[in-house]
Amino acid sequence: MSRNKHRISSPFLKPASTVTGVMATVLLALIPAAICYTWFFGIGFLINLAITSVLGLLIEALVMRARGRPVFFYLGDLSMLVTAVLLSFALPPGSPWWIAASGIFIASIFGKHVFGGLGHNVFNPAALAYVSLLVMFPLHMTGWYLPGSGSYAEAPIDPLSAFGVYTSLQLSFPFLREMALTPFAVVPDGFATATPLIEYKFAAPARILMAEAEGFSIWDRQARTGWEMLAVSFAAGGLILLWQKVISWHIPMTVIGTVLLLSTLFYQPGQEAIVGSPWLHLFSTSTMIGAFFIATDPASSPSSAAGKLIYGVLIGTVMYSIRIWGSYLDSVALSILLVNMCSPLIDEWTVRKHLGQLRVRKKSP
Amino acid sequence: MSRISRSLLIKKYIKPFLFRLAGKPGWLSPIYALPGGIVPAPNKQVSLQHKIIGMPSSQLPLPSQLILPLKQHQGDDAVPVVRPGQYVYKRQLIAAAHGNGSVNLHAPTSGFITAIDFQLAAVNIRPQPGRPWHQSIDPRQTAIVIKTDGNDLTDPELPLSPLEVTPWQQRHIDELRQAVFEAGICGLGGAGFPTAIKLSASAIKTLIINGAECEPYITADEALMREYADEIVEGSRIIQTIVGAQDCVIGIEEDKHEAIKAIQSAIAGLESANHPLGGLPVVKLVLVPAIYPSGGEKQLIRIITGIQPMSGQRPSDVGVLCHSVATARAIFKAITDAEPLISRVTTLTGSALRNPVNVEALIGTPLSHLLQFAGFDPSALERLLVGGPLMGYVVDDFETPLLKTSNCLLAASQQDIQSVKASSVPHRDCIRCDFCAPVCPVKLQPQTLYFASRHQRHDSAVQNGILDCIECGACAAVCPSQIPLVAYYRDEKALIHEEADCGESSRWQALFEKHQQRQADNVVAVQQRKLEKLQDKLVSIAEGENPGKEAAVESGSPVTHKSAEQIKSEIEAAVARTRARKAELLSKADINKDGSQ
Ligand code: SF4
Ligand code: SF4
Repeated sequence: MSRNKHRISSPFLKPASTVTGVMATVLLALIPAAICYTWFFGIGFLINLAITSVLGLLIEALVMRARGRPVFFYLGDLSMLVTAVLLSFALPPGSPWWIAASGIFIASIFGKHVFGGLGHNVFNPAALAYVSLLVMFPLHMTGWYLPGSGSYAEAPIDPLSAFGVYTSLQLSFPFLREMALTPFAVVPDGFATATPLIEYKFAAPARILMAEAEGFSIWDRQARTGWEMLAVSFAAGGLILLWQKVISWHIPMTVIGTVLLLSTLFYQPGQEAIVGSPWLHLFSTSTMIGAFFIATDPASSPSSAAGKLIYGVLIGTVMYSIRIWGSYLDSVALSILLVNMCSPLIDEWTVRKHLGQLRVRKKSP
Repeated sequence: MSRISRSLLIKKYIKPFLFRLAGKPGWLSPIYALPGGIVPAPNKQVSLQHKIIGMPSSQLPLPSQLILPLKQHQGDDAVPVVRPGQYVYKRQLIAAAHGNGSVNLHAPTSGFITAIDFQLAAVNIRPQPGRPWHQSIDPRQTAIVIKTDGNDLTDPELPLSPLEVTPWQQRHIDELRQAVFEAGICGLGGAGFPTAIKLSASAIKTLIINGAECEPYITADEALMREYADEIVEGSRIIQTIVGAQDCVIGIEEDKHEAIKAIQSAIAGLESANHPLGGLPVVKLVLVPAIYPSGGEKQLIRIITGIQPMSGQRPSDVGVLCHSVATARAIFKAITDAEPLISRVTTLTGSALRNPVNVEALIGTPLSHLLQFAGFDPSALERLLVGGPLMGYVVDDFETPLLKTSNCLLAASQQDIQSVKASSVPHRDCIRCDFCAPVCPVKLQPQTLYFASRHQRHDSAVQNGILDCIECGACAAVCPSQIPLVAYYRDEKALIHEEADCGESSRWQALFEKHQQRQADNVVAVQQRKLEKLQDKLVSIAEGENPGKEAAVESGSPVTHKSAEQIKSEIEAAVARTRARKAELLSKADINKDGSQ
């Protein structure tokens, strides 16, 4: 560790940024989406967030202890919280607590520490955890209690009413129901397995078309409005990151651009049920969180600008392909994981020539 | 995250382009954008409130002694030509250039030589693990110490130099070059490369005078340009004449408004004064964006000419020469006044000083003298830096002298620099955030270099261009993990050079020899211990005691028949044998040692 210590060497300037600051900015940028998510889908998100954060910090502390590193120094970088928040966004708000718990365990141990900790991870921990959960608990991971009424299965999860709060609590902690700790028991069956894309793809094109014809206002707490508002708030958070220069424009712009391009290219009016409109593709929540928050994870993305462009285009393409021609329920996390694996290779391809470098690169003997 | 601006699109491209379209003076020739760069808070105004204060003057008296290291430049040490106790006059040569790239050294004032010492604590920094980077000062420096007499006398019998009689325009180029050499000038910007060597380059097309002082806090060059613009411009003409450059460009950062005005009027004055120009075109002024590190030699050359010397090339290999404005003025003084380099303008600044100011101090002045003059507040001091916060180095001993290359003295408080007390906290790991690559002015990939250096993968480091890193520190300044990247690079460079010096095979050879040496030492030590035991016995016998347990146990054996005398002589023989063996081993070890050297 001796080479690993601070040494007294130029530059002596005050640091322009800190890892803690960078991570805090990411957390701040996620606040609008967190509010939006809670507003539309109940406090299930907050419960998941609490579980993942507390457990995540605990696991991180244990791992750091085991690795003989200063615990609080490493907890202070807040990266675990970012992972926890991102993972909570990916979990259905009504999923039982052990889903969130095993998710954060996977994210921390298999997503991060087996590779050597922050900065060495090959995959984005949150995406890895989400995909693992999806494979392990497909039913729980795709069940959503949707707000509002109408054609969706009803579930009163309004975060502002006591009843909604109890419902969310019971959904997250099923034992509460058995212990009858809440004044009113909620009937938990009959929930919709629906992220909008799946809904569009397999279930109810006619219903959706009808809903589209009716128009919607952003204050309606409908599932569709919810998804779209959430996507917008992710995009807003992403813009904050861009503005603060925490991320560069390369990855989000290429991901979104590619998805937009492909979905426009393959768009056939009247066939929304099969291919989806560009609007749907862009604002189906996960595109935005993926493009701005998950794909831009610095450790698992290429480092050069050219590399980032390639990486973004690849993600966009894979994402669209999985959605349209694949049969998996999720496309964003999968495509990001897939392309994460390529990023060392992309890095290798796109080493930039430094100034003064001879044209013919000298090979070492 | 806003203290260091990383978005420089407007500064680099749009503003120069628009100003060029609008035809603003100084922006007329196209400039080439430098990749990367940062804009740290400049903090320059504080030290520009007053004019440059000379030394000796009523405000700034002479220090009681001057310490002049023999090596203040790149190249071989100068050789002392005076002896302790001797009286020297101001401007007298006290150490002569000798060997490769050496530079003369002159007495900055009159006084007695008190010592020529290689053990002065002030210039011999104790090696401290953890702070190896005192760039300009090598360990084991020899320095000449002058006790000043306060009279500041010049030798009355010193003949006028021919250059003082005839204006420089009528002298031969070789004569001018020789005068620069005699004056002991080396690059005053920081690197300390002997100027005379640079001036002997041939086929120079463009001469660039570097007034782009980009590091925060440092204002020495700016103050110089404000007050001695004429001398700088004329000095530039002299350099241009010596090297025969077609163009002479003075590059200044755009935010130094007063300096720009001064230089502009100096150029205009030169043109109208109708000097015998020798057919050379006039000096041109070019403004460059105020971005760190546009004041680096190769960086400024690239900005102004668009030429990028290949890795390992000197700028003079591509027909460009770059001198700092301070060097230009030193050359002017050397040529017109025959004044050797005995003083320099240096910035005293930092929040631990009450009166930040620029002074023209004698070379060799102990830093404590200057600090005291500027109202030093030791309680506020975090670190004393020589140079700016981005490329300077730490000085622990305040008696360290001012060198020819010291352009700034930054008595930094916690406001100015990062507190470095936490020297035992490990830095965070690289999170591969890629903040560093976009700011690198050489377009390196700092994080790749970091991994290569950290794991000492020399091949990878060299392939990724570590030898082209100018150690500007831009990458480390923006790194959120606060990795001391530059320290890693310097370590790695040192290792690479070491390896290149001795080569892989000789490294193993050296290891092997060390191993042998250790073994030999071991054998010697064993013999030594035997010897000591025997001698102990001898002593005890001499004292008439029982020769020992063994003898008692083996009673009845022939040994008992031996008298004490016999035993003594036997032991003595053994001692002699052991001694001989030890001597033999020692000489062998010596041979080994010689072989390894
Ligand atoms: S700025 Fe620091 S943490 Fe970020 S990639 Fe560069 S070296 Fe790594
Ligand atoms: S210190 Fe080296 S690697 Fe870092 S920015 Fe400067 S030139 Fe680039």
